[in-house]
Amino acid sequence: MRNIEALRMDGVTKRFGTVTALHEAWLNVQDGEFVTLLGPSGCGKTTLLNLIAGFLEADAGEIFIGGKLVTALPVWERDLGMVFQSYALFPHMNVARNVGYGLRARGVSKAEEASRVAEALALVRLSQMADRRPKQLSGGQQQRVALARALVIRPRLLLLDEPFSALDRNLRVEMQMELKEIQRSLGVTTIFVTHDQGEAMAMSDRIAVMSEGRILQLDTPEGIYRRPAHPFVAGFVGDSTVLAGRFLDRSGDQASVEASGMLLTVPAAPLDGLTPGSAVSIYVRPEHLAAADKGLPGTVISRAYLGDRAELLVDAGQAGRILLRVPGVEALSRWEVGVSISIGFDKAEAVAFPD
Amino acid sequence: MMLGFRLLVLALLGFVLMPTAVAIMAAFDSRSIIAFPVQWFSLRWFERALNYEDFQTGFVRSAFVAVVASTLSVVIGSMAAYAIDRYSFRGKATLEALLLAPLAIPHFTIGLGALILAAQLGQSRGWPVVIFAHVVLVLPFVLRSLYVSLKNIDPRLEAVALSLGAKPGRVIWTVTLPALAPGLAGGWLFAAILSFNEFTASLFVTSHRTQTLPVAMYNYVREYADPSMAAISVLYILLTTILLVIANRFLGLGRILGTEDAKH
Repeated sequence: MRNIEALRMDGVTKRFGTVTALHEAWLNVQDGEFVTLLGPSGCGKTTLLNLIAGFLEADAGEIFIGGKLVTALPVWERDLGMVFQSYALFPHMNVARNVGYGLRARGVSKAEEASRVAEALALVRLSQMADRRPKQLSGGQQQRVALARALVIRPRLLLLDEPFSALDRNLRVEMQMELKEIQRSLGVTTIFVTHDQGEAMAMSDRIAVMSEGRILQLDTPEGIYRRPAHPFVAGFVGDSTVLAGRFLDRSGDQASVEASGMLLTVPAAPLDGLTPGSAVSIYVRPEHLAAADKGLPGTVISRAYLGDRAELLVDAGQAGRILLRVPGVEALSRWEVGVSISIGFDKAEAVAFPD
Repeated sequence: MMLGFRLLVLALLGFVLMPTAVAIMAAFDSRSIIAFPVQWFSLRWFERALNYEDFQTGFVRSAFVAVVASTLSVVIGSMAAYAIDRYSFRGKATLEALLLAPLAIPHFTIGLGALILAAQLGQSRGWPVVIFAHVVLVLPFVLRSLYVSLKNIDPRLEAVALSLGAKPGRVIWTVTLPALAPGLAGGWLFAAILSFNEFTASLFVTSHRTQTLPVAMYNYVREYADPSMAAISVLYILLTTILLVIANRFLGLGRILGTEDAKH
């Protein structure tokens, strides 16, 4: 069986006046995949979603949904399910009528509508609420109704626009897990928009990190975190300390760089074509650094105890301030503010980018 | 301090309500002149007002004009409000300013203009010109109330409906209009009350055959000076209050008229 791409975007560009909101976006999404568009506000992720949905018209490029060219197709013929942050439930309809809306628009029979609505409400565990009005439901319940309404039509694509941003933290985590479970069990291809990296990491098969209208990297959560392809990605996802350093040489797909006398091994790809001695920025994760007998000397200038772990900010002189994440117990017993520490870079999975 | 403030509030209330209170009281006086204070209680002027033929026909005509004019202005106003809210076009700002600033144009100007137009078109002072003048007069108010209602509708409701496969016509019918229903009803009622009370423009455009209740009242005052005027005032206030109470009960008038923030 041939695997049809659920979504393909070929060089899609969108301009608003003189501002280019989206520069040539290329994107392939496999059937059943969960892909997140991640980035700060104004990065173009919502523009990209609106282009997929058909609320915006592309200035260049083509969009295919399920192998079918939809670039010029109106919204209502694209076979989508959408969920917004504001829930957007129809206030004058009860829950069952809300969920059945897309079925009625498709001319499905009353009997089939009733059974599919019941099925969808069972899926989101709201069977008891069928006769309620949206206003009588909590935020989490409203969002589950919105999800049921989007899923009941068995859409080709499920589009989610920051669906959990209005919920408080505990409920948000619960809803994330529930959505992921439903998505996996139905196998529905999902495009998820968020500015929350934790949400993106927890739910996605792949993440497209966006900034200033460009997709900078499209990769698995692990790839995004461990092998960022762009300084923005390295800085935006997870915490890191940036060290000023020099490029030394490369061998195969590894390269060595130096910062404040410490030698580090980094992926060579981002440093292609660089001459030895060139200045680079080196990104290191706080959890990859540790106190060591021999290393970069410094002084602890602040300690934040978080229970299982603690974050130490170390002033390392010329190298600047470096963030370390160490076990909570160790931090309490050894690292008072003001004590000297040596930072070991042995396990640093650093990445470097040319300045 | 508190006492002074309370006295000030009372004085203000008294100042605003005094004329109404005096008129209401005068309606219950049995004497044939409008006088104050009331000396002999009686309902005879209510009887007179309700049985006076010009008032009876005037009431029916006013009601007719109010219903037709407010219905027309709600239809026109909802389309205009939708266009102003959702689309951008040349002259939008001018149209918006013109439609939303009714106080700048006096009613007699509209009455006079409608009269001249009707004469130009060879129309005598029939119903069309009366209704036309009333539509022009109440449209800005209707438009404003519908515009506020439209602004309070989450545009994502329509976006969701489209994404679920509903064509734009179906979306307007099943999502936009139902969400707008309180605004439509409130706008209609507002227009009907304004039209029912309208006098200045009506004086220009009505003939004896089409005279509305306020015009009939004006003609009555020119001949008689008895308290049936006051009795009609009481009936007017009663009718309008009942309508407003009903409207507020079912529609939340504050929200429609934009005096209260929309709750999400």
